[in-house]
Amino acid sequence: MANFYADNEDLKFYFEHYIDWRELVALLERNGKAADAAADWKETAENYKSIIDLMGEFVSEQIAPQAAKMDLEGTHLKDGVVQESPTQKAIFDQLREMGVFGVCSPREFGGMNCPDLIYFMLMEIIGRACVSSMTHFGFYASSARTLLHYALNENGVTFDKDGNVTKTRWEEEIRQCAEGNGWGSMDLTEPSAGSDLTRIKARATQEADGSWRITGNKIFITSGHAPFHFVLAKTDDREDLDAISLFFVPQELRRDGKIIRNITIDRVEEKIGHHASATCSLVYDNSEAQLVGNEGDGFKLMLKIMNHARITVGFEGIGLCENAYRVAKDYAEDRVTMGLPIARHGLIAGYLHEMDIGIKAMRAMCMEAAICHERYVMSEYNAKALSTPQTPDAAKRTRKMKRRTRKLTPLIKYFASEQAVWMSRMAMQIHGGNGYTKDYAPERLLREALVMPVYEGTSQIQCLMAFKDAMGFAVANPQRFLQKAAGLRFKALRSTDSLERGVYKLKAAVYSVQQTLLMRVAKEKWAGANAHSVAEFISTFKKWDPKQDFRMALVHAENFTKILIDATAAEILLRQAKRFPERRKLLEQWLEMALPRVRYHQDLIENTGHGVMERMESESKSDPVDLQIVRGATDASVPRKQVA
Amino acid sequence: MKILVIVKRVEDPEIKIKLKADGSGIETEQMKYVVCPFHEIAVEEALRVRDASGGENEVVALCVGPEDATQQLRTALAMGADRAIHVVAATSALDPTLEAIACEKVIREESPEIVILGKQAIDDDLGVLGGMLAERLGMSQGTFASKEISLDSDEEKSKIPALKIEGGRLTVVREVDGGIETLSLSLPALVTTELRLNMPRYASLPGIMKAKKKEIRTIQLSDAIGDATMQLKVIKLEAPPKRQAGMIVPDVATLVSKLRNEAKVI
Repeated sequence: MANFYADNEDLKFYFEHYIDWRELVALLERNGKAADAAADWKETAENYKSIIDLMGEFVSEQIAPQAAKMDLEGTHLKDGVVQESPTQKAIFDQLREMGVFGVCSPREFGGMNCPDLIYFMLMEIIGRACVSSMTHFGFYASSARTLLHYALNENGVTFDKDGNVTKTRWEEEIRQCAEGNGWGSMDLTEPSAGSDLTRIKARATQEADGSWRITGNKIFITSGHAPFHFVLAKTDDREDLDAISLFFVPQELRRDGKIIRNITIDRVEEKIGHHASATCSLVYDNSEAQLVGNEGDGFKLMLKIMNHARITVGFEGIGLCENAYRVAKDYAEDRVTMGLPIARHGLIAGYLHEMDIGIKAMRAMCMEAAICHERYVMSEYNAKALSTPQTPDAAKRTRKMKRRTRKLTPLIKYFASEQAVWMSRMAMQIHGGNGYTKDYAPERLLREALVMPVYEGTSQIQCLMAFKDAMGFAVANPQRFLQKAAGLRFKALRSTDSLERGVYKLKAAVYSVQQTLLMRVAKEKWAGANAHSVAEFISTFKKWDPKQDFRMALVHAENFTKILIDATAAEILLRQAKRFPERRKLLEQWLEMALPRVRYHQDLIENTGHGVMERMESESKSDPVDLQIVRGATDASVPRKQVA
Repeated sequence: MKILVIVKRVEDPEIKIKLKADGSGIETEQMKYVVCPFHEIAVEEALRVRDASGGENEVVALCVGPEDATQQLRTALAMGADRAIHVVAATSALDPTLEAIACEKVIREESPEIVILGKQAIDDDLGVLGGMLAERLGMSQGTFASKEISLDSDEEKSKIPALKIEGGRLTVVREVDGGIETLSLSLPALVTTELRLNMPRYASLPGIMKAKKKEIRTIQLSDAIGDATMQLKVIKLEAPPKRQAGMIVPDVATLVSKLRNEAKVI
């Protein structure tokens, strides 16, 4: 039987060899204390495997063959109600019967208490069949976890002595999500505010009785026909992130036994792709809302969902790329030109090779992020559930996992999205004229892929985040930064293992370009002065202004991010190769592609950018605007402490 | 009402079968095993009959096969069967007579009202077990059970059983050459399933978890068959001859001439 899990050796490697299930199961089941936990970690891991195996079969047999049909049917608005694709509806009915929606919800809510890692793998598997179904499906499980974590965040959850939930805010809604009968959409974007959320206009006001009302308009809300909504709205008029609060807003209200609409859907977007996922425009008119957390915490709370959603996009990208690669490969092996299948012509073989290795590198990074995410989220959850603070050592590990997740998240979001576009484009190219027709998959894949670099934070926002995170680290402690750079250069020369040398070369390149960029920033600060000592370099960054000082360097944010991705993937693959010698080949193949690519991007950073800077400067002189570049990119966990 | 359903463990049809060099069998390394699709349909039908009948109902899954055929029994349990019996044999490819003797013993002990199994298994396609068993047990039989309505119909989706029990009799619609025949069988009865009987369900996630806790009783083959011995001997397996490449002819005249002069079929 066709099976999207069983036919994927690289995915199986993670499941069957790489992931430390013993540790994860202990976290998830609180060392066996969780209600109805299986006898031991092995049995639990076996259950996970049965689930992923079953879903691999279901998705390949039931979803994949119908993806084109769902794309054609699309979602539409009729009399203010979203009409989902009938085919997708039937599939979701089946998934509901199979009890899949609660896969990661705690058993207290009727779920299966699987790790988020299983959710992420499911996202890859479903994404390989149909990314728009995946997107919609993802909202159910992620809303359940979001609600629980929000409740936890405001101490609104009570636990028994074994850490099982006994009572929580939004209990009914969490249960609905786990049963597949409810989900919440993330309502952020407005007509005049996307990447820069300080500009949102939705306004929340508090009534005399303490309840809240929201008035405003949101657009591009994925699965916005949700039974409930997480809405960002301002509680005061300042253009500041602190003015934004988060609200829980039900779609419908019960009043005097009648159901009335609390939010109006006034439009479902006509899009290039993602047709089976409804993208809604919403209107709130004095809509009843509940405040989540504290006033002014909206942005911070939304990030909790956003980061999870961005890792999900990483897995979505893998799924789509896997599909693009496989259809391209099958076609290339069948199609004969000049006496050979085109798969055996050097050019095409090269594309296929790059796709294959790219997917594996992407999966390595996404798995790493998902594992780190799981570990820190569950450690923090358990500390609260069991009312036992983490030991200092454990807390240190948790912080490390959190840092690593934060570092990886923008990289995988950027990498997977851009790769999805490139790979579906190559799949189309490999199909030649056929690829441009609706008879073959690539045109759909390309249409579906195009939104990925745009939604959940554009590629450019991801680059800014990655860039500023890394720079923030350098600036926060220049001495440590310089020491690390020197150490890496040394390792790049001295390591006895050639592959290890390659990885250190990539890592040293990251530090080297950072230094180049910082020097350039420094030079601007020193206004033309030349020779400066390390001590001066260090002291310069003790008093710097990120808003002004990074302007020059930001021109290269994307080039820098690409280097960071090449180096980070190599680093992860090296760790894998040390544990599993059979992975050395993959590292070798990655390095072969990554080393020259990094040299090229390094060259760009070191030797280009002046043209655009001159242009920007002359334009800002002739037409001065308030260049709040940094504020525009305040998205994500920019460590204010570190940069301020 | 007790329904006993036989599940057979077979090689995954998605995996290409390779023969051992000496032709004594197939390569089993890297092989994946699944429940035979015909028998999966039998499980589905058994569950539907159980869920549609009032009173105390039970579906018991039976498998004659090697140690790890428990996996196929777990599949049946995850789909919803209540408990399972595993007759542990060295192989799945038993002599059908021995398999019938083993099943007969279990069925006599269990005395179900209905026995359901696939009309054949996709490994050797012998298709004799159902008939043999009914004869040995003295049960009425309805083979090649099918149904008139489409598998895309709403009735099918609502999981209404095709096998109907009324007034102590079982109605079976079966495929015959040139049409459909309807049989009314006295109970206990044995039914073998055709592919067009139903669309088997996927196991549910909670079903998978529950399956781990359901009972699987094991019986050694030797205890089930007494001193009966293998009758069937596999001498050699051979792959069918490779299909020759075809050719495209320019026109009908060439086709006719080739058929007449080269293939000599007209």
